Amino acid sequence: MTAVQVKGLAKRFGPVVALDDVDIDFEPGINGLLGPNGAGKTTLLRIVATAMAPDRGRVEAFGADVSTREGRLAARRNLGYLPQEPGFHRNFSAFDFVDYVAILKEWGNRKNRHDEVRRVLSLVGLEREMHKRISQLSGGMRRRVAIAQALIGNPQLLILDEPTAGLDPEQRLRFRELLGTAAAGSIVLLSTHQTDDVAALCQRVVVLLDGRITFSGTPSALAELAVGRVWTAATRDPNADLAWVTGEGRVRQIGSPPSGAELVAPTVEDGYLLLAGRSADALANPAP
Amino acid sequence: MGALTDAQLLEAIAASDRDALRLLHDRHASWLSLRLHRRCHDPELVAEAVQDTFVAVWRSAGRWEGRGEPAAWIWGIAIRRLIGVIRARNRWDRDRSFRAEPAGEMVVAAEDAVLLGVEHGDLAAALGSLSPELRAVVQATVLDGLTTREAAHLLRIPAGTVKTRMMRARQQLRGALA
Amino acid sequence: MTDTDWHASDELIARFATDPSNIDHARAASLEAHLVDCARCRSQINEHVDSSFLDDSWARIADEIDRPHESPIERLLRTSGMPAGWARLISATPGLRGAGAISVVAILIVAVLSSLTTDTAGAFLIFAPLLPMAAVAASFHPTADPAGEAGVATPLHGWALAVRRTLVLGGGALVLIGLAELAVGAVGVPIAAWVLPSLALAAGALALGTWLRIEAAVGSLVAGWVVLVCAVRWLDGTDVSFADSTTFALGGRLCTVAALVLAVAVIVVRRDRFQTMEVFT
Repeated sequence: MTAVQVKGLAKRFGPVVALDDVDIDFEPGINGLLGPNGAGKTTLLRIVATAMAPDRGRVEAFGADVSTREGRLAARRNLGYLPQEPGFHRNFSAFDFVDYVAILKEWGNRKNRHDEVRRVLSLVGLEREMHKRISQLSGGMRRRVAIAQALIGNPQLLILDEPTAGLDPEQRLRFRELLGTAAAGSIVLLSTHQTDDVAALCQRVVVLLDGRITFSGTPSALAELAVGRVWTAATRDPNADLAWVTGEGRVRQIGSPPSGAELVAPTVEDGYLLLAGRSADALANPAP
Repeated sequence: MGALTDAQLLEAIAASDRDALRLLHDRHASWLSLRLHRRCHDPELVAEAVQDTFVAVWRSAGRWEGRGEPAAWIWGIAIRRLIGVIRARNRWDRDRSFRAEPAGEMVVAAEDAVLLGVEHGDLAAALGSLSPELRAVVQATVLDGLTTREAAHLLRIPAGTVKTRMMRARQQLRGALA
Repeated sequence: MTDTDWHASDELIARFATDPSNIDHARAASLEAHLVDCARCRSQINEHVDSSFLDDSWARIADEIDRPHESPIERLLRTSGMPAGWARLISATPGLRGAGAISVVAILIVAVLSSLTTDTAGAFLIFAPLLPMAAVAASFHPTADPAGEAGVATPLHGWALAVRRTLVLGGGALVLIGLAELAVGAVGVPIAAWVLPSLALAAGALALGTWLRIEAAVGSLVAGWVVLVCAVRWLDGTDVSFADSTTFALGGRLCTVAALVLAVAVIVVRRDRFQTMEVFT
């Protein structure tokens, strides 16, 4: 199974630098892309999905450079892409929309195509609603329609931009199960803000901050960054970088713990917040 | 969803609920096919008529007025589709008629006649037009061969009422079948 | 309405389900009438029917109801020989409807304007070429494709689809204009006079779209064209009608062809922009 290699990718929109010299390889399995809004996750995914061209650098997938005509065609024949804002035509039914995308994916034979459309729509649990207009579906169902079109043809490369946005906890659980079975053996790139999705799903996580990769490794390694730096107390400590009240009424804090503080085992979220906090801090107070 | 009535299923179908159509189909396709088969012995034509019927239900569920039995409405669609399918086949056969054997044409025509006979008031339609009380009496005495007294017990009405209703039913049936 | 107390016997139902033609009419007719009212007896029939019968029957029905509705344009394209998939891709363009609406409205405006001036042909020649350009620009804008951003990352997105869309859409617009020309009665205007500028403007819009947003590309071309035509006529002298002015005479036509060739060259050189979502944005 070939990997996806990103080399020296750079992209700017006017004065805004979206990606700054990004180098990363993605292996088979579920790769999470974590970062705040504006970090460049969507831009990176768009470029890998061939929906956008970079200013500099290149992406290699399935052994070819996707900026060439052959490479782009090969990539598009083997990938499924869920954009953050699908932008589908509201008057289409769910079935008609997925069918339309399937035609774009070269499913010319009507019978095979319709069987495939029915298959992916049942994977996301929309058999009943498949003939309802998208404008009549709830937000969560619309997202599931968009997920369904990405699954057409069981692609080797699955690129999902915020797939769980708008889904309730039960649907997010179903999505995790779906990904486990439907995406077995594929390379999945999944961007999210939800660290619990990352912890539950991803074999690998990449943290993107301000267009740069600041971490790449397993979720547990990300959590370990915060070892010894997370504690709970009854009240907020002024030395804490970040603090919030938990459900139990204690205050969980990240930063430099005072001596004698009650340390707790860090989660993926703690590691991420530590990184993101540091980066924000570095921007605000640049080294002299 | 199995607990929903046919009327509720039709409402869901009007809102493009595909599973509701499937359930309605599973409830009705068999008896419709059997009833149609008794009017047209060609299994292909019957299958086509049933298929057309449910496609028509899918497209026009919103037009059901909500009165009476959904099954009756569906049957109305089915019998008309069967007539249409038979007539289409007749037309096609007629186009080839100068080559077709006369026997083949006659078989189709005979079925057509039976079918048209149904539509213009034979026993089934006549029975169907009886009120439930009259029909109950006819069904109990004719179908199960019950005596007047036994039918009265079954239907929890006086024996005299059974007799009166049978008379009225006979009158109505005679009138319809004349 | 249901006769809840009376039900058909198991034996009758079994015979009806397996050998319906061999029951006497009266009993069968009676049962049939009863079945219309009685869900319980209907479901009992199902117990005697093979499950594969229902599955096969449903599969045929599902196949029929799942077919997307075919629009008249789609049917026209398909019966003219275009493969069904392409016919669907091109006719499913919501931008087509929008562009079509714009064209119709614009033609009406042109007709009205033409009737207000004495120089009917001139008014026509100025405004008519803008319509195919508007139609083409609308259909190339990313929001015109019903698949949205997801559609960009597919094998058929790109040049092949774009060219087919342009031909169908642009061709349709040209036909509409031709009809409008007949309606307005601007007879005597040679075809080349307005077709050439139409093609050049449409190609120009696509070429500019590889750099500019749709508003900028279309706006600058509309303004530029109107200014150019008026300026040239002014240079010719005010007693010359638009139709006879240099823009539409031989010299002007040659320049138009040159502009068309230039625009097409730009499109070809920058054709990769049509592969991603970065056209007209």
